[in-house]
Amino acid sequence: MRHVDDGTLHAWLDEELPSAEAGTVAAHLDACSACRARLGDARDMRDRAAALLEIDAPAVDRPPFDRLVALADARSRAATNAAPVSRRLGQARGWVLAAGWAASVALAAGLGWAAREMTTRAPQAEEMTIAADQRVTAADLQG
Amino acid sequence: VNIDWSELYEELFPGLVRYLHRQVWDVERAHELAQEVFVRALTAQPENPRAWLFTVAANLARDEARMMVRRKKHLTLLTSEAASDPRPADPLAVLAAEDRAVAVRRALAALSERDREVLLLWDAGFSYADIAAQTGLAVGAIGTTLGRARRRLAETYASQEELHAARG
Repeated sequence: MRHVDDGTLHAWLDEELPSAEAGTVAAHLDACSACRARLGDARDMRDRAAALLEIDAPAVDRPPFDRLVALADARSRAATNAAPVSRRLGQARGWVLAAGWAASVALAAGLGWAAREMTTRAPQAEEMTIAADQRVTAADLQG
Repeated sequence: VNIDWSELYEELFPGLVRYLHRQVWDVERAHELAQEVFVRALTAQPENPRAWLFTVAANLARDEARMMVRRKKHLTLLTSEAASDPRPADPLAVLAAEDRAVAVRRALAALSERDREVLLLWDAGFSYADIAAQTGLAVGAIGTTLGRARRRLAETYASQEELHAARG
């Protein structure tokens, strides 16, 4: 067998070689002092790199899984509601116009009624409620 | 595909934070981004979660880096008008407690993008096959890339230590 290249040495150290290839490499390393020396060097590099990456490794604080599920749920609900918004936007605009028209009808009716009542007596709270109930609503206009 | 997301979360979250931290260099932000990646994954339910999570994480980190560059430019504009900066150019000269971490960051920054990506994915717990799938490299090339990245990291770090020692 030819000498083992650096990449294969690292793969061997990382236990990432297929078993057949790992066996061949192990046999060669047994017989070849030059490759054993290079293996030592590769191991040293691997260990130093791993140690260096630990120097600034963050302490990991894992939030509870349920919290993530709740966030995903909320986002999913928001997305589900968001889809029809564009369609509802047209209806909403119509509703606003209808509500405005209804409000002016109610206001005009109310003013007329109040003006008539002012000539006789002050309106009672009960009567005001009835008057409010009789106003034209946006739902009526849409219906 | 039946995926146990709770188990996957336990397994992958720490590696994801480590990976993101090496991209944004802010522990809190790395946690936030890792959480964001998982929330997106729970919503999207990808079939290959590991690859999906790290791809989205890499994209978020890239966006974050672009934003940081913009912020830095802005900050530079602001501070250029201020009086001279009292801080020395080299943080190693004064940040004794942090010099090792700074040196590691510099050594990582000195790697090529591909080498750094392979090294960080390995550090995050990826197998060679996973790294190959993630980066588009052949599985047979991962050992070579990783070996080169490890050596370069160690050597760059050592050269910074020597430089620091020479300065006293």
